[in-house]
Amino acid sequence: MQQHPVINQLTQIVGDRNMVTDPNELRVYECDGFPIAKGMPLAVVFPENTDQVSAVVKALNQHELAIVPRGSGTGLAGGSVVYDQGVIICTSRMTQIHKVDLENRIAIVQSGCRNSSLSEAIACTGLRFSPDPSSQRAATIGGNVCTNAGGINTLKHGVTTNHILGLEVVLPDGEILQTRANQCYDGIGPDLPGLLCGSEGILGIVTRVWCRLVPDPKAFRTIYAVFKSNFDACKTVADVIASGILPTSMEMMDGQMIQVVENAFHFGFDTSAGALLLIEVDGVDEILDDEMNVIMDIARQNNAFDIQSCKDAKRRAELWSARKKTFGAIGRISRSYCTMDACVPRSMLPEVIERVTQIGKDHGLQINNVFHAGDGNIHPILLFNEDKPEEVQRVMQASEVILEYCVSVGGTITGEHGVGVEKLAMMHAMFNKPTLDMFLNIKKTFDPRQRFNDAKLIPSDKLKVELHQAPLANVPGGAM
Amino acid sequence: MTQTSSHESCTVVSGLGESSPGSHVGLDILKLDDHAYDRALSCVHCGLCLPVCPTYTQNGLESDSPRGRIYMMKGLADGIVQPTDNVIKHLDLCLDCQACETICPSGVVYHELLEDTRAKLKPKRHFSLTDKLVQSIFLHGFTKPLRLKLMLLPVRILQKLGLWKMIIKSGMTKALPAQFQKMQQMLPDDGPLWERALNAYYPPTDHLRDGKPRATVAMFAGCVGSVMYQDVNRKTIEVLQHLGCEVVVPRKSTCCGAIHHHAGEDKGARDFARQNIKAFLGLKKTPQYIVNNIAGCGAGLREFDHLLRDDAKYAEKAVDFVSRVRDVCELIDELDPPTPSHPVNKTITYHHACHLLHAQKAGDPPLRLLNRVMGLKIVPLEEADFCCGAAGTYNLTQPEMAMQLAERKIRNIQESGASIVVMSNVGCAMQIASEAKRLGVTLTTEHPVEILHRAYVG
Repeated sequence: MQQHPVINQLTQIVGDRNMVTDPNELRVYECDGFPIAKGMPLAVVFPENTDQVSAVVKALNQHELAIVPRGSGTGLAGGSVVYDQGVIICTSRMTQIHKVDLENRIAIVQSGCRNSSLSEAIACTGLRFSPDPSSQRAATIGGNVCTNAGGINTLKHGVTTNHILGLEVVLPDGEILQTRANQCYDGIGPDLPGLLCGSEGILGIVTRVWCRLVPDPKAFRTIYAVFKSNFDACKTVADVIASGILPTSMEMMDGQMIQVVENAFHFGFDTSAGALLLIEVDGVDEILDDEMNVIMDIARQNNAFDIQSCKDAKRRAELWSARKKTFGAIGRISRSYCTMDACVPRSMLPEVIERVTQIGKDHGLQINNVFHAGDGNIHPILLFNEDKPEEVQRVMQASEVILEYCVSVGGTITGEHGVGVEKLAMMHAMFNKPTLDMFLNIKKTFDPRQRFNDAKLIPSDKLKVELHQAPLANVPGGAM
Repeated sequence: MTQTSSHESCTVVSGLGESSPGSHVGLDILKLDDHAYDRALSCVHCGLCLPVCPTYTQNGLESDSPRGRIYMMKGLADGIVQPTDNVIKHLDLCLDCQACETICPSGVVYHELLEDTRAKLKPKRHFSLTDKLVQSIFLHGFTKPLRLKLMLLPVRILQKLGLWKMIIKSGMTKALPAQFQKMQQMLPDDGPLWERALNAYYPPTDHLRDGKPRATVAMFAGCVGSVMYQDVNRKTIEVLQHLGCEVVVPRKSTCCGAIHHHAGEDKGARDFARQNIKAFLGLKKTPQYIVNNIAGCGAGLREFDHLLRDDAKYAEKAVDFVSRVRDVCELIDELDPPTPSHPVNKTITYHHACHLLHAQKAGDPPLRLLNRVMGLKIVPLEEADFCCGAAGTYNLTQPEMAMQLAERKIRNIQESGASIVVMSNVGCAMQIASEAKRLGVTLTTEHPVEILHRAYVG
């Protein structure tokens, strides 16, 4: 097979060792953390710095090739899959931490630096980079920016966009954009980091990030409350928020999940429980006991029959480990499962969870729930047997009904996993035509030729990716 | 290209790719064991294994990550990936350290998939003469203590005469292939001319229970271990004697077979497994425990049930055998020992041997025991759970990556501030000590048993 002429050009820019072109080796880059969506790249390029990224983008433009940025490939919506025989620019060799400025609480990192690498590097300083998706050990900070990643801390401490002070981005034409020349917040002009954060790599490729560092909380209390029903647990979540207290996190697990986790890991949970809430407050030690007592009272009023609290680091770690291992545990009872991701108003949680369970029953499916209750981010997990096409169809129907229902009560089609290609078709349910047109106009302003990660996040008028009949099997839990 | 239709401006493509199995008729398909193939299917592609994989964190290639390798191996089995040199290079570069299994939320048993793929690929591959020679030395020299002692004898004599250093200095060894240079580099500077064998029986010396031994323990001395690190074997026995155990050393025990198993030579590995089962379970008094002090061997012994699962005569015995296997620290910990009475005034750091932490899931006992030793200060080691590059014979077959990983390990050890690094595996010890010497870094390696011996026996 004739080698594409761009390969030589790219090799001259990044060197042989930073290129993959053998189709057998490229196979591993045909999908990311959403293995349903697949597309084979022509090549994968591993630049080591911003100038190389810029030169690579310019070379690819000369040949009118599609370009897709990729970090660690942990995305759960197919955002880093390349279609139309394009080229992937992977940031996995741009991992440097350029500078940590403790006095000004800023870290400047290359976009391929992993989220945890930064936290580990500054662990001894009492500061941290707050965004904490479950994939944080693997996921890159560039990827966090592109998906505006959240995590368990999100409720109180905000998502990635709240922790980004500046960005350097190679634009689709290869020019280098840099928001904010120095390290101070300037507030001048349109909020470009705000626009780029969460744009899922369709407006350019992030190459450097100015990360805001915040102090680690001095103290915390972890509360564990067990309820007879989902309804009571959800009502507790809504009541805690209404009380004016802002916990760091409020995580919920339903009765079936408690059994699954307990059987797999033996944490000592009551398997007769209908639901479990894990709530954490952090901040100044002196006020935490008061907050904790208010939360425990609210749980009691909502019929919690077992309430425990702890400020012991070891037990706390155990409790959170139980939470983080839930998705792995599902893999042990059902190989095929579909993890949904949607957001609903917190006040609606009790009704939403009941309705989701009912939708499952209507479709003859078991649905388990474990989710970030505090921000209304639900993750119904639909269990099924991949070998039964009819059951797969029912899963797809049920998930559509669930998403439509969530939108109808004022929710969104995704809480944190993003749209990518997976939920492109649902964008019409979420936004009206003028809004979608404006999205597309913004995309075209950055990328008039629509070759930079096109047909992701925003429905494109140039490329349509069809995922019909895709069984939503084996979709991992990811950042739950 | 997967284009299905094209309008004037809008291209429509299938988002599902073109990789359905069987769509590439006529290409090679690697028939994997059903059980192993099933392992590949349970990977949900989440990528949580990437940051714990030494090779991925070193070079950033998906094809050198566990997730990527699983995808390639599944591709080989489905016939959509061909076993080209490029593909095999990535599978060869895997250390099989199993850190990915510890982190995997879906419980994928990666090593079984890798080992089956390697075994099935072997007949299809061409090896250079040097590769064949090196492998033959591993498989037939290292695994037989007598042969190893004979191979070592001339070197030991030259060492005693002080001639060995001169040969190295003269640069003569530089003419050797890289693998042989590495072997030479790993060889400890000193050792007995001819290592003595262990006795067949050692009675308990202290802490008896009602005048009787607390447990009957059979010692697995290892092949390379019994030649290069017999001293650690002796100390293992003495600590166990001190804690009230009687220790037997079966005469007919042999190599654990890990070298064969990892080289894709499963038949040889199974033969070793059967011989060991006969040697240990055939003892007059069936031992409660089968103890070993080399993490790689321990992991190998614990694979017997997997290796012999289809052997009607041995499958059940293998399960019984595996249930008795313990790492020495695991066993001491299980015996609920008294607090050691002798102080050991040292500052150490602890490196987790992959085959103890990840393969045997017994990473805690050594630290638990060391923490009870008076006077011993244990300082934390960054990336303590990362492979040092030894990985069985990996440092001889993949010297470049092994060297990079060793440098990373040694940098972390230096930053810990300790000059003694403790680990439960002779392979790691040889790798770290020899690489430190090459880099001009002064550090000492010790086995936890050496410290426990000083603390208990004095």
